[in-house]
Amino acid sequence: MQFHKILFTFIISTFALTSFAQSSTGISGNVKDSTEVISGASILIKGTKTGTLTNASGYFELNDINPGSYTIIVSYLGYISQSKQVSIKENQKLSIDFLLKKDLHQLGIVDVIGKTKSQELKESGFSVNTIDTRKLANTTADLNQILNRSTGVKIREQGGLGSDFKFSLNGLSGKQVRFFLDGIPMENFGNSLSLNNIPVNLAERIEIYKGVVPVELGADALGGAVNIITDQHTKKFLDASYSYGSFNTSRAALNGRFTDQKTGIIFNVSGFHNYSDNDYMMRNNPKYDAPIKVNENNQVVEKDARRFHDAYRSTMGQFDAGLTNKSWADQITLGLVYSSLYKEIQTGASQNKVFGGVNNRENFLMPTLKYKKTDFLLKGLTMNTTASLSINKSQVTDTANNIYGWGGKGREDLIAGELNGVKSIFHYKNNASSIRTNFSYNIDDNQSLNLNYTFNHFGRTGREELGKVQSNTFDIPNTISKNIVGLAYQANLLDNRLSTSVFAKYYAFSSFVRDAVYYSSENSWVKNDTRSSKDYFGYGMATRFKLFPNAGVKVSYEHAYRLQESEELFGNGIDVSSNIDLRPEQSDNINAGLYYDQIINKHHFAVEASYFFRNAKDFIYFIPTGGIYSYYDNIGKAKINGVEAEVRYSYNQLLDASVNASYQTAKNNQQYEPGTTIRDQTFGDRIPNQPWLYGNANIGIGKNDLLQKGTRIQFNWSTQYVHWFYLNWESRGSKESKNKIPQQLVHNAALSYSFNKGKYNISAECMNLTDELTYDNFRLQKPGRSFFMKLRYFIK
Amino acid sequence: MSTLLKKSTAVLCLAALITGFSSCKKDNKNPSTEEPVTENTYSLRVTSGTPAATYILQTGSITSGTINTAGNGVETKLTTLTTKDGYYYGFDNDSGNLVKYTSNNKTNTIIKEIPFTQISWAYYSSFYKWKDDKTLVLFSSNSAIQFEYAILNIETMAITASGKINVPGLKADHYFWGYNAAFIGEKFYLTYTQNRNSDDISEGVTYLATMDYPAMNNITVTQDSRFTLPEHYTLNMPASFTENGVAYFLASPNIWTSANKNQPFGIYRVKGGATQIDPDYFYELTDRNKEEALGLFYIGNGKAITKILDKTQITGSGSYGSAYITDYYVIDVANQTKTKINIPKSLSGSFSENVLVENGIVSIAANTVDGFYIYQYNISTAAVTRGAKLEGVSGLTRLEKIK
Repeated sequence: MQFHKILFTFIISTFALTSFAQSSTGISGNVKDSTEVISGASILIKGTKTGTLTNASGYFELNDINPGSYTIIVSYLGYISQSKQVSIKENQKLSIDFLLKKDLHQLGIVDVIGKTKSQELKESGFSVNTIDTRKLANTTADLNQILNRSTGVKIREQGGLGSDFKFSLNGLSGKQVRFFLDGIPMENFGNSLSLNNIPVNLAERIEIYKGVVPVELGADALGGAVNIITDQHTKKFLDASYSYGSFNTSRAALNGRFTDQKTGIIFNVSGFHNYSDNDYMMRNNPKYDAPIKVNENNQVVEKDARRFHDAYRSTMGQFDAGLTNKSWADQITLGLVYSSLYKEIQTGASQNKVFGGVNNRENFLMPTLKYKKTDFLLKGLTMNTTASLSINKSQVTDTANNIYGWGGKGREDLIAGELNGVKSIFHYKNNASSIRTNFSYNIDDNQSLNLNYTFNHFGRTGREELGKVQSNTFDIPNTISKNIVGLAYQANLLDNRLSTSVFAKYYAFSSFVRDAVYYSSENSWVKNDTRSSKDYFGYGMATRFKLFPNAGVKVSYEHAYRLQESEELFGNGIDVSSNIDLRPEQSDNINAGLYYDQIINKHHFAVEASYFFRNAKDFIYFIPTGGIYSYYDNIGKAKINGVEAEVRYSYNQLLDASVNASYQTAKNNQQYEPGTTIRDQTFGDRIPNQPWLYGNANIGIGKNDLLQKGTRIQFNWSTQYVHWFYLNWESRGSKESKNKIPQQLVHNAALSYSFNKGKYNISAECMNLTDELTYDNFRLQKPGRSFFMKLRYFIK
Repeated sequence: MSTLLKKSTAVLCLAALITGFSSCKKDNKNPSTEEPVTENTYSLRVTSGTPAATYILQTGSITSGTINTAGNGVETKLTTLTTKDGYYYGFDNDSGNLVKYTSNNKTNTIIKEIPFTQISWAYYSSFYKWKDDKTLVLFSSNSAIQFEYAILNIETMAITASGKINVPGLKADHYFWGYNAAFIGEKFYLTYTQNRNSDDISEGVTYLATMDYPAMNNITVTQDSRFTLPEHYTLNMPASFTENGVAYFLASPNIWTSANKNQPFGIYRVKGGATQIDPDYFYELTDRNKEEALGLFYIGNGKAITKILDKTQITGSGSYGSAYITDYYVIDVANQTKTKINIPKSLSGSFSENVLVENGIVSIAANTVDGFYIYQYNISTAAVTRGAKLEGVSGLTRLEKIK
């Protein structure tokens, strides 16, 4: 309570001082659109060079104005400019607000709301990419495909639609990067609601935080975080689409909202349905040591073969209902998400390990409650809470009675499964609960505090249906709980030219594991139910200095953790033993970057470039001993240096183009062989099996009102390049024998036609136009050329 | 039945142990353009780095100089089961196909690759025996509950016969474990135990199944309750030898493969023509609570080399790879004596075939605090010299003479 009083006194004093300072002749005001404030809008006194930009709250001030009559012009990209006549007297403090309207010609092409937020994030101290997914709404992409075109991001997919993937960001990957859907952690979602199946239409924008993650996301993210943001502000809209294409792939997506202005009642609905046979041709490619081996007449023949057991279906439905604009809540909604998945598994870790019967089914259910209130208890205090419960049930069926190869069904085997030693049907149930509460408090126009608390609880139970597993360690839930508290202080100094945020994060976790296995010298291996609690402290900062109104430099740092998971600590009681000495993965992450944004007449030119450094250690690796028990250990260290840059250019509504490239050197920083004093001979080698040079180029040409008023025809071309990389250590072994993941140069093209002001859209798309043989992973071929058509209806 | 669940991972584990996490190779598919036999004569299958990749190195000498993986050796995804007369026999890890190949420090060359789907081969449950110079017999226990065999003619690379071995007597809720086997004449002797599904503990009995070769029928099973757990994972390191019509086997209830406690590590034997384990013979090699014995490398004249590990230094699976706990001993199975070889304590290399015998000299690859060396032990004088040094090598899984 004492803190509260001090804070309050401090705020009152600050306000008093601020008011005292504001005594000269001037004009101030706010700029917003129908739903939210616009930051970065240009304010200009017509016929003069006097002007300013609105701050993050949409507020502007023009001081020391001579008395007289003026025309104030307010403009912002994507909005219709507005001007107002004013007359000001000596020592008068004039307040004037502007309500800008969107430029409807840009509907379906540039999402203006996203742009304002994108701009704001770009000018924050964090190293962040924001992707406005609205302008990609007419494509057939899922979020993975879009993220994959962003700087510093590489997503390695194992196959076609719905295939397993590994996300990497500035050299750190897998569990080291955390994902969120509107701030709700996705790690407990399972596979039925994932980056590889969420269609582009459901998201408004994606934020990718690299290495340094704001406290609001409340996560143990070692290498960064990705937050998928859905449209939260458009009052009424409906976006429905359907696409069909190669490999019998169909995708339907629906997204809409209805808000009743009078009562404040709000309904959101969204959903998707994806299906693909994924029966693409697997090409025999001995050149890159990726042959397709087919057994014919008891001989091995290398030839092309078609995938036959890779069908994929995922379905999701979401419904929210709530109230907006009440005295006690800006918005409160109660929602329910349901998703389900069916996935056949065609291959193991290599394309010549062929399965013909294994499949996975998942069902996911998640009720959520969201509450937001500005001026909560105190003026300037905003509270934002999200709570969710989820259940994910999965079933892995491994009961095929035959052995399969690329030639199809082989001999009968009534004992062994394809995945497991015996036939089995595993059922798992994951229960998760998550609460995130965020308080942001504007101390004054230039200072703010942000306190974030996140609680995650995860429990897993399981059983084997055919009775093959007698020592079931998942008969009661194995659980893990994480409490993460973050506090950030942000200050804007030097007339907003310098913006700095410092933050600290406290991580606490506890876990319970059933029948964890330990070695005891008296009793050999013993099993015990085991609990553990540990805590850690992280910290960081992000700062931005504007060299000019449209250019700045940014530096950010975080000492980040990825907490141990319960299986990593305690094993599974079956074949993985505990390692209670296991530490969390940790990394010191530094980003330094600059941005520049210039609009000259109708030309818009933007550049962003950054350098990143990661000093990561204590990677948690699975150690397959080959014996009765394997275990996890902290054995990896890496030092990563990298640069990335993006250049964008657009001309009016006609042309937009961008090029980006990312380069990194991730070096093995492990000096000694694990647990010994033997020098690791690969110390200083490039970390193998990781792309380190890649880039993307996109160009779009479009024309409004070409055939008819309210229409737009748009052509987009994109090219992706990934440089080849070694599968294993570059310094070891003969050059001739070293395997490479070959270079990828993939082109995609799309043509879309919108009419009735973006209400109706039809598009055609070709992915992998030149039918390139592409591999993200060694000996796991991705689909060749494919075609899709998409129909979309959009109204708001 | 935790072990059966375990199997899937165990396959991966052991495959990784043998071949490295993510190894691979370039295979030259055109044997006619390659010399099938290299001029070098020794082959070392090694791993390097973390995560490890696997390399096949060849060298002309293991008694001096250095053997290095820097820019040298074949990065490989072909496993090696065994070698003979210049050829490697193993599997293509991905497809499971059987391969006969050569290697020359630059590339592997596949001589012949054939489908191998006759039996369910898996590293945790399979093993092999040479019947004669042309006949390699491959065995599996298909998920540890059904023994199977396949007979490979290595000249034609054809499976000439295959099928099930119907060993009777598998108890309910148990599985077969600890396979240590030998041919004596035209009889095949398979020793094993049965583990409980619930806790993976062996029931304290060792069985002997005797059968006719090549029909693999006429099976009789007897049991012996003096010890348990014939050494498992004999795919990767010998744990038996046959001399003068008597087969000697190692029982090894080691922590690595077993949850058993207070069981003996020792030698048992089967005399040719008998249908039971010799009831009058058992040579307990160690203080069972302080030491473990692994591997049985025959060096002639009733002698073999075994690895003896300081069990008191073992704190978990990780100890096998990071603790200097292994000594090498010459054991005399007739006189039941053992003599320590003068090599510093080394990392265990638990299931590595790192002992090679030729012309009265035993070469042992040992990773000691002084470095990774191949030591030479003179059988007649017991003198030890330190030979070639391995550089850029994290682990060695096979040391063998190719030619």
